[in-house]
Amino acid sequence: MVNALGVTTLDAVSSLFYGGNANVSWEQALDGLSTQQASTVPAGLPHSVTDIVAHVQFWQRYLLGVFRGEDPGWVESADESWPGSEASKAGKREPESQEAGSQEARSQEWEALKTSFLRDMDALAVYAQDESFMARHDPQGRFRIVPLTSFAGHGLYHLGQVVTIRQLIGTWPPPGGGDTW
Amino acid sequence: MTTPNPTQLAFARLLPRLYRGGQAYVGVEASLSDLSAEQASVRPAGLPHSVAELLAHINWWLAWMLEVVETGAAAPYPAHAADTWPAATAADWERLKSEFYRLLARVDTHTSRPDLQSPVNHDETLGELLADFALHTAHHFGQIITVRQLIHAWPPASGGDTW
Repeated sequence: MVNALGVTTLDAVSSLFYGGNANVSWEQALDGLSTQQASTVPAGLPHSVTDIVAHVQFWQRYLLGVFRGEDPGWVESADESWPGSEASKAGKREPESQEAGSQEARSQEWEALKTSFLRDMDALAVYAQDESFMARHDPQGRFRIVPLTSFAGHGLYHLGQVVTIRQLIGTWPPPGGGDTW
Repeated sequence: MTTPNPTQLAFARLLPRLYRGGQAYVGVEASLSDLSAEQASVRPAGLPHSVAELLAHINWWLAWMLEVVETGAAAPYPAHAADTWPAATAADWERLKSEFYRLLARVDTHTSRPDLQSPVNHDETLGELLADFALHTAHHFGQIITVRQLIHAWPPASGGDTW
């Protein structure tokens, strides 16, 4: 039994951030991936797993900012929403001598990125279950459920690409198994 | 039956767009355009599926979902994931695209139903099932773009999703 505001719809939207019922979950998709593997850009593709997670996290943080009334501001170009990618790092590369020494720093960055990514995913999933908040309008006059569901779709679109990249670099399925049976 | 509230109606209006992309991700028509049957059937080295095979899989699940939605009867899940990956060759490409758009048109007839909260299948509601498969579709369209990048067939003439 559901109430008039449709709790099960909100539950469904909430679960979509984690992968939904029809896909492998984000947690599985990132499981068992070393910093080096995560940062590998396969030949012929523009992004690594790290780049994609940083991109999805960029938009998660943006939406949370909007929800929290922080007015995060739209980006001028798509590149700005790819904070970890080579395009946005152009001209900012570290000298080679420092790169080995920064391996530890990169590992810490990858762990920090995953932590903030999963934390903000939780925060959005909580918003999705807040009936009164979902029924409010955003600054564009849309019910909050609309951008929230769209952003979940954006995340899962890129989740599919993470699986493909892992297949290409020989790190799929993850230790706990993928989504096959 | 529960009368839909404005939030549910907004969700219902969003569903067809979730199936088509265009806002949250590259639109499905752009994703399938400007790709020859030969290109669509190329399986890049190191990957298990071609664009045609990915689309055949998307179609398989959409047809499965629609069977559940339209008959109202719970459907068993296939015994093996492999059962949901039909063989697809260059000769199937045009048919697969037509089938996909026909399936989307059928999905559209259900997204505006007033009973999205009604139970269907296994412990789900109609709205949940429709949302889950919208995002299953999105998940594999993300992979279609990756495969197209690998075979140097991206972006299409109409452009990708960058600005």
